[in-house]
Amino acid sequence: MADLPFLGAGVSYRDAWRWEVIRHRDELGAVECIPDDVAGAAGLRELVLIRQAVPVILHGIGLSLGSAEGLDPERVRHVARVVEAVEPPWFSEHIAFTRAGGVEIGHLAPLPFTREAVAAVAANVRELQAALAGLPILLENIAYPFPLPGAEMTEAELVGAILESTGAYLLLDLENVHANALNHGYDPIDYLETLPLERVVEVHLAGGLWKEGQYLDTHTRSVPEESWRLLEWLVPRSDVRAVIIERDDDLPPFGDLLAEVRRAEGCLRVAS
Amino acid sequence: MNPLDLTGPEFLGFYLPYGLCILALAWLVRALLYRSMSSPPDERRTPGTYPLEDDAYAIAFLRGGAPEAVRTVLGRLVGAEMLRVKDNQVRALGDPQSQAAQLEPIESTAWSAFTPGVSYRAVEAEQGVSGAISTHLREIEEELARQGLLPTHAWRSAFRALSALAGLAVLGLGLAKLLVAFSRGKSNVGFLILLLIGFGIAVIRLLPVPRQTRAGRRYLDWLQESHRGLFQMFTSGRRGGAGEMALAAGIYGLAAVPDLIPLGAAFQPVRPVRGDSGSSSCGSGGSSCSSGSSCGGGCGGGGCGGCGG
Repeated sequence: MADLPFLGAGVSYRDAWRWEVIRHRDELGAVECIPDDVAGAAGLRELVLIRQAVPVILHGIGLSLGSAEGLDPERVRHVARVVEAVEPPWFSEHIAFTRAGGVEIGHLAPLPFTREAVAAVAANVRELQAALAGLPILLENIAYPFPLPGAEMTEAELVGAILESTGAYLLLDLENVHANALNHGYDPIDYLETLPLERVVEVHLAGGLWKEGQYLDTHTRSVPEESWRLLEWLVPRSDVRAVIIERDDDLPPFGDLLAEVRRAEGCLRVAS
Repeated sequence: MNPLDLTGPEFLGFYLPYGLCILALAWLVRALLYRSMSSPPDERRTPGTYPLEDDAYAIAFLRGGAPEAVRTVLGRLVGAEMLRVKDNQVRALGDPQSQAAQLEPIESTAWSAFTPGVSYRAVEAEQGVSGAISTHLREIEEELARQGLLPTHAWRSAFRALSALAGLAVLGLGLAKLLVAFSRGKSNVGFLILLLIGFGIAVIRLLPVPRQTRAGRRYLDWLQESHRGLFQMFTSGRRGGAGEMALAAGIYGLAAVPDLIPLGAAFQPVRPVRGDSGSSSCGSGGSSCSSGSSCGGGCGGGGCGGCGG
């Protein structure tokens, strides 16, 4: 953990912001890119060009670490190629599955809170660690619409057990915490207090919306005040190295995003 | 054997391979010279180091020499709404005192060539600015040469000497034979004249003084590749600041910025399209996005409206 660099606040990379990211490079601690979206040599070259302006961290979405049948070797090789080209300080993925029985399900699905799920993720993470030559791995908590039946532990216990058995660090998505707390009726601070906060390396912030009685982490709105308060609570209790503002759709003017980056940077600096 | 004493067909049989050999040798020596131009890398201007907006003029100079730097400065003033271009006329707007305070030295010097409220023909504006900022241009050129991106005067002289030697060896013999033929009352020299013209064109095309060094070419290629986001921002209809406009114009030419296309077109009046012209819309001949091989990169995506002709 001590070897991991402090990057500060940044944004998730979107093609539409290609120039803005480079222009405002001095105001961004990092940009987070999705290796699954990198296509061919041209895509790799593009990432390298971005990295020449701003530190790049990689965030996978399709490895399906929760799949009991193991990792897709081709996807692992692709991630390894991107990692080799970009040389990020760490690689992150979700505690979730996106593939079952060889079929891609197209979204991040929650794992059952069971020892079997912990074992499956641990085996996959160890395989990934070997493929990425020991690069630090961060695992991210996800939002789940409903808990699966047959739980043997809480979600926080599942996350803690996976981190403990793999040596991975935590990418804490505070908007997912916010969404889960709203949808499942618990206090987000109570939840955070049960996580191994000393293993938090990176934080995700985003904004969602209410739909049909559920709060969805859609990455389409500015970060809500509730999530900012969670960040303010978290930072003095952990050693956060990077905060990424995520935005996928309804892209605002980049200046709006920079304002959120500055606010996140302010939270980090107050603590340090 | 004195080649000047050969008969016409014998001389042509000797002169053609002789000229080709000399040209090939000179081309090889030029390539070696080109590869030999090197200097310690300058961290400020090397692939991987993103430039500041103020570097736009040096980049334009590197790409297309003083004319491109002058046009980029003009583009900056248009972007700052201090100049307006209409019907190939450049009109100076506004109050120079309040606006000039926000300009970089090269920009305010360029602005000093204008009188607010007065219109100038584009060529006059270019000449006026070129004269006003000549000291800045000289400094830019010297700096780029120091950084190993432009050939130094010594290297330029070496390249010129090489083309002169090759030209003398090839064309000198042909011209001498022509004189001998005339002095002997021969007039069947059509093929020889054709060969002379061909070799003359070859000397000019194959042995020019390179605009940039290899490091300069690499840096320019990197700039044009790494700033595609800036290029796309303008071509997708979004507007940038005056500094971003100047940077895009410096890297790709005025035609990369829609707001500056009228300025680029003012320097390059649109000629009637001829069916047999066969010229590319991104041609290197005096185009506002001219930069030799770099033109293609800068003019992609339909942003080359000002390169016509």
